[in-house]
This record gives sequence, structure tokens and C-alpha cells, in this order.
Amino acid sequence: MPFAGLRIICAVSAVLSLGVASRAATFGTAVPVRGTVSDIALDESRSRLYIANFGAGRIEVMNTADPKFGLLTPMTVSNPPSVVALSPGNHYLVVGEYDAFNASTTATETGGVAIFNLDQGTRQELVLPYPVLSVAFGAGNQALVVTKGAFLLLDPATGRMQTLGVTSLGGAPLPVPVAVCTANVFSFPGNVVEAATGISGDQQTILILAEVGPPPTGGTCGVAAQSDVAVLLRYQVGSSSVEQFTWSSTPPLGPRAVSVNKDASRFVGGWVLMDSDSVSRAEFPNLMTSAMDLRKGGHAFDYSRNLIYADIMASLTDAPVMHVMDADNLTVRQRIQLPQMMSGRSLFSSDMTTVYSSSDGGVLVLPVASLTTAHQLAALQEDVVFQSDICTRSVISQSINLVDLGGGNTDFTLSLPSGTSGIRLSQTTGTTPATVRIDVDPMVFQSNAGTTTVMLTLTSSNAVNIPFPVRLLINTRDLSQRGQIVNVPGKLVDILADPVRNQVYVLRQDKNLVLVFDTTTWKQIAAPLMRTGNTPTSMAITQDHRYLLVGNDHSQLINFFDLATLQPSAPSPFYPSSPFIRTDGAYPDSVAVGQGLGKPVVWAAIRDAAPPSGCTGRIFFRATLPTYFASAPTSLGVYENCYPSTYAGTPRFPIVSASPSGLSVMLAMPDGSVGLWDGTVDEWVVSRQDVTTLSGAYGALSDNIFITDNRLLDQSLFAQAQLETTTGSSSGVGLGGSDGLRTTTKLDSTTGSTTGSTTTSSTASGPGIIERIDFNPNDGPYYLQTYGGTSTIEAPQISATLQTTQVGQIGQTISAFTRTLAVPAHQSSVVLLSQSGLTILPPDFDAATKVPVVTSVTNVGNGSTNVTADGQVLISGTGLAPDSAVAGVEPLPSTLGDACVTMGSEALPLFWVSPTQIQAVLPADASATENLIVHTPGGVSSPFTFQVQTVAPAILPVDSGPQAGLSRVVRQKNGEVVDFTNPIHAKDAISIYLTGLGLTVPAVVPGDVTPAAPPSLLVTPPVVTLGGTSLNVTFAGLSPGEVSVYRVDVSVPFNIHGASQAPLVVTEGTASASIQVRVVNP
Amino acid sequence: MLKRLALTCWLLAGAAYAQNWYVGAGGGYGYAPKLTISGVTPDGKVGLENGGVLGAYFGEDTYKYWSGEVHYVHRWDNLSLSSGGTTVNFAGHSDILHADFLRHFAPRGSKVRPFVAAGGGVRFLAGTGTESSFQPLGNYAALTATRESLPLLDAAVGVRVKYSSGVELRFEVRDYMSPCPSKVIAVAPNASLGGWFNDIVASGSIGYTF
Repeated sequence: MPFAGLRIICAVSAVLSLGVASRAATFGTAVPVRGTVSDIALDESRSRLYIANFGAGRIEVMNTADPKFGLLTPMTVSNPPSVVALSPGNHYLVVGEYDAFNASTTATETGGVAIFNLDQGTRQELVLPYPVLSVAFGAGNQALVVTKGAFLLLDPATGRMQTLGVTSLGGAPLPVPVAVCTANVFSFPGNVVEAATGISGDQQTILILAEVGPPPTGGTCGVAAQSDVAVLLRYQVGSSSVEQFTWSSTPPLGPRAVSVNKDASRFVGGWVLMDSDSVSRAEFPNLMTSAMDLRKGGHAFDYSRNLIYADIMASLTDAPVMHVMDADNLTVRQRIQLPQMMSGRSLFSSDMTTVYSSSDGGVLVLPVASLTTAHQLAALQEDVVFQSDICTRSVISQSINLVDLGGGNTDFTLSLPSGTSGIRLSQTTGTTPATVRIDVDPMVFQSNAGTTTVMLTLTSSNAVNIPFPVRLLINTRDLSQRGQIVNVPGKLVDILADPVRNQVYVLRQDKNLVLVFDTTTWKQIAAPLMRTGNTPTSMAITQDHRYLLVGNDHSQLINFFDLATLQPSAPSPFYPSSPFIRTDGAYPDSVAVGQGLGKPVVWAAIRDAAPPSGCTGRIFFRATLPTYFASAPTSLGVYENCYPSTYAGTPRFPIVSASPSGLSVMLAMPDGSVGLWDGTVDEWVVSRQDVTTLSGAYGALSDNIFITDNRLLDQSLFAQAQLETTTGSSSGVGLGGSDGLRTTTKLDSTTGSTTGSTTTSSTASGPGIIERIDFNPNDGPYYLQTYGGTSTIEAPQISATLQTTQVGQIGQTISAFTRTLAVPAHQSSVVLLSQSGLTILPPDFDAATKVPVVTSVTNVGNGSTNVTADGQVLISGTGLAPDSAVAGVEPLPSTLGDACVTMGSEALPLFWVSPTQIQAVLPADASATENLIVHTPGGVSSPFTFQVQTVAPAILPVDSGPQAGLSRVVRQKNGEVVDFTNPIHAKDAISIYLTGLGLTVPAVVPGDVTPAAPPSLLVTPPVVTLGGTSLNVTFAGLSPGEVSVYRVDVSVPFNIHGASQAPLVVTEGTASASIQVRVVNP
Repeated sequence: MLKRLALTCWLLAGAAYAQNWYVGAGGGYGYAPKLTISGVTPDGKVGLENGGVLGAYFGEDTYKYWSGEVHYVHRWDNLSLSSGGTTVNFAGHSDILHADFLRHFAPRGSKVRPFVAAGGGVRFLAGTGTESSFQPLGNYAALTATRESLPLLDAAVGVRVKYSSGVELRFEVRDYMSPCPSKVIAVAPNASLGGWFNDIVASGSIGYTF
């Protein structure tokens, strides 16, 4: 929605003294009306809804007590009814009439008012010289009647009308609507749909939104032009006072409906959520940009639940969807499917349980109180992360939980994008509650050494909502990629580290939140929520480290948060209830706080909603703290605060960044322009354009080092150096110690597309890169160059990867510039905004690590080089792992302690790793000559060639405990290892644990735990002797409950010869293993 | 083993010619000094723990000053291994069978008859504890749940007191000497254990002459 905006042109007050897609379940009931509904009025005392049927020229009467909401005998009126209103107590129904069909020009249009005395069943008709646009009762007994030419008060009991002094409203006849389709019976006259009325819940305030001149151009019948001017009249019933605000907006303020909260402190007019101070608190972010159809769409303000129900079209083909939104910043909670589109006025029942809304086919009855019990399908997880690496071969499984938010059971269908491979769902259809297992074959994704995002779509035929999809994040990394992923769902668009606290602030745009993370645990600090305006885009911290500022692209304000309490707060004398800076007429997309002549100065690079004449758009708003208002400086030192008329690009998304001292603020624009504000003189001192495009990373690293894109600028913004571009697009910059830090990301050129206003996501190709920038001038040719490039576990975000398909009224404003790198206080880590959320890196991310070298592969049991398939081996060498690690759970992992071992396409299960040794299991199909490779963050070893025997029995040692190292021959009598103090006795039963005995039936996957049943028995049982005496073998196979361990059970005869040293020999085929044991008899 | 059995038979045969037969039974307490295991630092101590004994004897006052008799003794002698503050105990017992010659210092029929005795026999030593591969001090010796028989020499000094007609009381101190066991107490390969075990038993008994 380029250059959409809203501004107040003027405010005058006067006081008058008088007295799509296939649809499944939908929510609510659509009551069809033969004709065209222009307005509704609710009479709860009679269980009636009066429907102004403009097309049929009558008042339809709907029985609200009828479960089918049947229509009763209509009430006739003389002219097409444009509006209806009920007096307090429901005594009178006043119908505004619009008779323009016989008029040849707008000047001969007439109107009237029909007054129905509902108690007596009588009707009174009053003829007016102008069509009636609005009739509304507040708490008083007189109706406020707005016509094209007058502003009247009507006493329905007497039929007397009193004209309000229109001259006191600025001299202009108000309102002055424009009829663009004066004789078109197939469409609404513009001035009917261009006027709307809302009444506060306490009935004390009436708000009327109507079109005023000059007429918008370019519109069609019923469809307003791209911009217009509207007036908002605020009529206070108690004081009979009127305030008028005139608005200019692009696109026009549609849908033409006004929804007011209980005390009129908040209301939604068209697509803007305003407060009583006329601050644009939030705006619906996705609107039709080419032509707003004012007749389509509507909303209702549920002040009892602090919700707004809104059906706002982003395009003419949108299906009817009611957004359930927070009443403070229009955050979308749910999207509910409607049978018809809301269209115009919506009314609540007095108990706030039901909304009656005029629709594009009649009337909608929406029992919103029962929405919490309606079938709504949802997944409890927003993201599911699958982490693997180059050695992960086994399927990774995670689960999602599907529930019915209404508490019942609803059907669901899960689907993946067509052509998706490597992902399998345990079920694709079912009924909630359900736990669905998602199996990911990492080998399918290993060509992308980073994170692949796959969206899992949820649908239901019974649920009334449109479920949010689940993001499947599949990370496959090479071990040389550094960092740990902290999953943070949502669209994260900015990150800032607190300079003094162990906190990092992350801006989640889709939920209009600032998330706070503890940098010692990387856990999100749970409460309280830091709610922003709509579609937050950037953050800044004041120089005293007390406040966090947030700029928004769909709110005309800059939020303030106290960093000590993490609550909305602002420095005195800000209004305590309004912890923000107003930016009337502008959207503060990027904010920075500098120190200008000792005072904190907020610079907001804006999207201008109201460019002055001769200016394509202003660049900045400024506020010198403490203040409540920001405004556009007329000039920026010697420069204009204005995009020149010759500006070729779209004047939006400039960014600003303050240096750590606050004495410098850098401006960068996508057209390549840069500027510099000098706080010591409080002036913009540099403006230049040396390139035609800029994007990506930006930052003011000091008062004389600035970075935009790949350009490293000095204090005159002259490009001192061009940073390398081979590693991709720049993403983030920062300071790490005495050096600079920079991240880059490469895009996958095969993905990402833009169709119309819909942009599908682009994905990163492989990992991102983090590198240092040398700021030491003594380093000669390396000065101002990058070094220490290190692959990250996944790619940092760039503008293209942040772009996703827009979803309803969830805001998405992605700048060409990105800030994705932060260095927390105390420099304990480096954190990146990356595909899955955050990537945490150690400050020495580029520390050198040894390249692994393998020197031997030996049998764990006897240290010989005789090894077998499925046998346990000891890999010796140097640099085999960064640190020691032991497998904690079974089955054995293929990656342990950032090390893994491969043979061909297979990864070896690992028992433990250390820098000099790795204990692993050879693959079941290993044979003859094999090559083995070790992977670590230090690199990849050269292949180590070794021979694999058919059998190579060796008695395993005890691998832990006080008997570690002893041969694992166990007396079953006491379960202890045979040794000098626990000798073998006659008639003992002995278990011998070995490796290298060969094939078993059934086979067990190496690394997997051997099941107890069925037993995995040796194809050829071994021969066992003790001191030359054959022992009876009672079991020979893989040991249940263990991994790749053979067990041979034998019984010792009664006549065994005692000996202090007797050979216990296990012979398999032609190979044998033996140890000396002590035998006692008796 | 064959020689030991022959000696025992000869002693029994000698008793058969006697005219003044007597039998008796009693109990006492044994004290067995530990032997030193060397070859491991520090030295270790191994041996039998002190314990009670029960026994019975049968003999004949063949001559005026000489007697011959046969003893059976059960000795509760758990095994003990210690070094450096660590002690390992292992349940065990012995059954001792031996024959002695007695030289009295008062003629047959005297009320009080001091005597000295000497003889030999066999000691059946049994380890009955629970073996463990985690037995401490396994580098000294292994205390093993098995049995072995050991040759035995003994010497005693005591007194026989006539209490009434046919009834006499008897007090004595006896030293049982046998070589070190090798199965019940198996010395570790790098350790060494030499010498004889002395098992000094003080006992009292009551006898009947017929």
C-alpha cells in the first residue's frame, strides 16, 4: 500500500446552545434481504431489527427472537430509506430518506424523514429539501439529522426540526457530500455510503463520518477515488456541542463505518483506530490501494472484551473474513469466516452478546459471545524446529498439537506445499484434539546448509476460523557452521541490545510486540508484554538508557517504554496515559535518538501521509525531548526536509541510526542518498548521493565510522572502503571489541516472487556469514577490510527473506535496510536475527580449531586393527572433536560434541568423542577396504583407509565405574565382573560381552538399542572354553537393551579345574578372543 | 593327605589300648595374630579374626603320666584383610580335627593334674562371605568363598582338676599352627604372604572319666 496515509487538515469546534477459496464453516447467520441494505436499527424491547432497504424503498422488519431471523411485514416509506434510528426507549423509529432518482442534477435532490411511533403504530412524513445522510439518537430525545445541506435536530414526538447554525461550523455548508452516481439505481449514491454514524456505548457521543469536497476524482459509482477528504463530526449529546475534524486520506476512509467504544475515547472510523485526541493509534494495514469501495466492509467495537471485529478488504476479490483484533493496536487474534461480508453499520445487543451487521447481501447476525465456544482449529505451536547436520541420517520427529479453541472436537486437514518431499505426517486428517507427528528426513534437506522453511497449512470443514499455518524450520548444517538457534516465532524485524542490562529487545511485527530476552539464559522475559503501535518497524534507545522507542508504519506515533519496568512509560511531562510521541500525518518508520546541544533529539524517518505542496514527501519528523508532539522541520540545516519533485523512487523506508555517543545520526535511503546529523551543532551537515541504490545492513558504529549496505563511510559519508560482496547481501553490522562485525546472506535465486501486491517469501541459500571488519589503521592493507569469515548455523534475515505472503490485516512493512546483529552488554555473545528467530554466537566465533586427522581405527575390545561391521571401534587422531562429549540417550547420535564420522554416505553412531579419540560403531554393511572421514568445526579429515574383517571377536572392556577397563565377563550370580576377587566358580553362569562376532538374525540397525524380543541371535554361535574345558553356550547374540554389544552366556561345569590363571576363550569362526581368569573349585 | 590320615589312625589305635577312658566338651575363645602381606605398599595384614570355639575330645590315660586324645574343634574365624585404614571382612569358619599326646605332671588319679600336650591334625578352612569384584584391597589378596584343608600342629598347656567321682574340669591354652591358605585367602600376584598362622585358643571343658 504505497504512500497510504491519514492526516488531520484542521480541527474546528463549535458549541451550539439548544437544548474465495472454497469455504467451509462460517460464523453467524446471514439473513438475505431482497434489495439493498443501507442501515439498521435494533429494537430489543420488541425483538425487532429495522432494516433500511434502500433498493426496495421500505423498512424490513426482522424478528430477532426467531431462531431463523424471519422477516415480518415491512414498513413502507415514501422515498428510499438511507438511514434509520431508534429513539431512546424505542418509542420512535426515524427513517431518513433520499430521493434523488427523479432529480436531473444534485441541486434538485430532495429528501425527507419518516417518523414511526412504534407505540401507537402511526407514521409521520416530513419533506426536506436535501437528502438525508444520517440520523442518530444519543441519550437525548432529539435525533441528530444530517442532510446534504443542513444539520438538524429533530424532535420525533412533535416532528419539529431545528436547524443547527451551520455557519458556525466554519461557514461551509456541512456536510458537502458528492454524489457521483446520481441516477444509478444499481449502485449506492456515493453520498449515502460516504456518510456513516457511530454512537458511543454510553449514548453520550455521536460520531459522523462523511465525505466533503472537493470531490474525489477517478472513482466510480460506489467506489471512491484513491484519496478523498472526509469530515468527522463529534456531537456531544449532553452539551449539544459539535466538534469537526477534517481528514485527508489515501486511500479514502473506508469502509464507511464508525464503531465507537463505550465512552468515545476510542473509535474506528473507516480504516483508522483513533482516540479522543484524534491520534491515529493504529490503522488496518492492508487496504485496497487502487480504489476503496466504501460500501464494502465494516467493523464493530466490542468494548466489553476490548476487541474489534472487522471485515476489511485488501482486494475486491477478498472472501468475507472477520478479524478479531485487539482494541489498542489492531493486532489480529483470529480470522473468522463469515457467510457474507460486513457492509456498513454494525450494532451490538445491549448485553454485548450479538452483533447485527448490515452485509452485502442483507444482514449478518453474529453471536460473538459464543465465538469462544465455536469450533476453531489451531495448532499450539507456531514453529516446529528440526535440527540436523551433515551426519544426521535418521529421521527427526517432532509433534504438533491440534486443538479446537472452542473446546470441542473439530475435523482438520493438514497439507504441505505441493512438491514437498522429505516430510511425512503421521496423519493428514483427523479430529481434534490430536497430536500429529512430523517426520523429517534430513538427507532431503542437506543440500541446503542452513534452514529450510516449509509452511504446514491447517484447514477444517467445521471450524469457523482460518487457522494460522505452522512454520516447519528444518536446519541442516555443516559442523563448521557456528552458533545456536533460539526459536522465536513471528516476523522479527529489528533487534537492539540494551547497553547496560543483560537484555536484548526484538521487534515482532506481526504481533505488534517488543520481545525481551535475557542474554544470560536466552529465555524470553515473560511479562509484561510491550505492546507497540500497529506494524512496528524500528527501535531506538535513549542515551540515558532509560527508554526504548518504537516506530510504527501503521500508527502515527512513537511508543515509549521504560526499560527498568518494561512498561509503557515516557519522561515527564508526557501524558501518563499516552506514553508516546504523536507524529500526526506521518508514520515513523525508523527512529533514532541523538544528543543535540545536550538535549535528546528524536529523529524519525517517516512515511509521509500529508506531503506539503511541492514536496513529494517529507523525510523527517523531529522531537526534542521531553515533548508530546513530533513535527516536520521545515529544513534540515541547509537541506530541504523533502524528497525532490524529481525523486524517482518511492519515498519511503529511509532509515536513521544514532552513533553510540548520540552525537551523530546517519540517514540512508534506498535511492543511495545518505545524510549526517551533527549533534554538536544540531544540524544536518552532510547530504550526498554517490550511488543509486542502498539496502541491507546499516549502522553508525562511531561518530566517524558508518556503514550502509557494503559501504564503509567516514564522517563526511565518503566511502572509505567497499566491503566484500561475494558472501551475499549485507544483513547486519555492529561492534565487537575493537573490530566491526558484519553478517551477510545469500539468496536462493530459485525462490521468491512478487505477483501484484502479494510477495511470496525468498529463502536464503545456505548459511549466512559473520565476519569482522578491521578498524586498526596499523594493519596496513587489512585496514577496513573484512576477515575471520565464519559460517553461521542459519542465515541472518535480509529484506527479501522477511517478505512473506500477507495474511489479512496482519501488518507487514519490510524495509530495504535491516538491523539483524546485536552485541549484548558485556560483549558476552553476538546475537543475530535469523530465519528461526535468534542465532547466538560466542564472541570468539572465529576462533581457530584444528583440522581433524585420523591416525588409526582399532577394535575397542582389544586395541587391534581387526574390526568388523557393526563392531565398536576406537578412532584415534588429533582434532577429532572440539571437546569431549558422551552420548546421553540411545539410539546413539551421529553427531556428538560438534563432531561426526562418515563412511561413504553413512554416518557412524557415536558413543563418545574427545579431541583425540572417538568410540563409534561401524556400519552393518562395512566390508573389505573402507574410508572413514571425521567432520568437525575445524574442517574435514582426509579419508582414513582401513580393512574390515568378517569377524574379529574381542571381549569389551567395562567402560565406566571402578571396574572400567576390566574385561566385561560377568558372573550372573552376583552380576559383577569376573576378576581376582570375584573368580569363576564351578557351576557358575557367566556372561561374556564382546564385539565383532558378525551377523545376527534379525539384524539390528547399528546405533539402535537391541530389542529384547525377538532376540537377535548370532548366525553362527561361538565356541567357548575355560582352561581347555568346553563350556555350554546358552545364549549368543546382541545384548538386549544395549547398542552393538554381543553377549555370550555360558555355564561352567562342576568339575572345572581351579586355577589362578585360566584362559577363557571365545572362538568365532577362525578368530578368537581370550582373557585369563581365576577359577575356583569348589 | 595320605600321611595325615595315617597319623590320625595311629593315634586312635593307641587310645584303644587304654584302660581309663575319658570324654569331654567345652568352649573357649581364639586369638589369631595377623600375618603381613608384603610386596605392596603399604604392607597389609591378613588372617583370622578372633572368635569363639566349641569342641569335644576323647582320650585315655594310658599311662601314669601319659595320655593320648583326639579333638574336634569348631572355630568361628571370619577372615580379615586390612591396610592403610581399610579393612575387609569376610565370613568364614574352621573345623579342626587333631590328636595329641599329653604329659601330666601328677600321676593318674591325682585331684589336680597339670599337663602339656602336643600333636597334629588338619584344619578345614572355609570362606563363606560374599565375593565381589569391588572387594577393596584386591591388590593384596582376594578373600574367596571356597574351602581348603590345611595341615595343623598344635601345642598346649593346661590342667585337669577332678571335681567328683568321674567328673573333671579342664582348662588349657592351645596354639594351632598351620600354613597360610592359598585358596580362601588368595594372595594377589604382586603380593606375597609367608609363614604360619598361629591360632591361640584358651578353653575350658568338662569331662567324664569311665
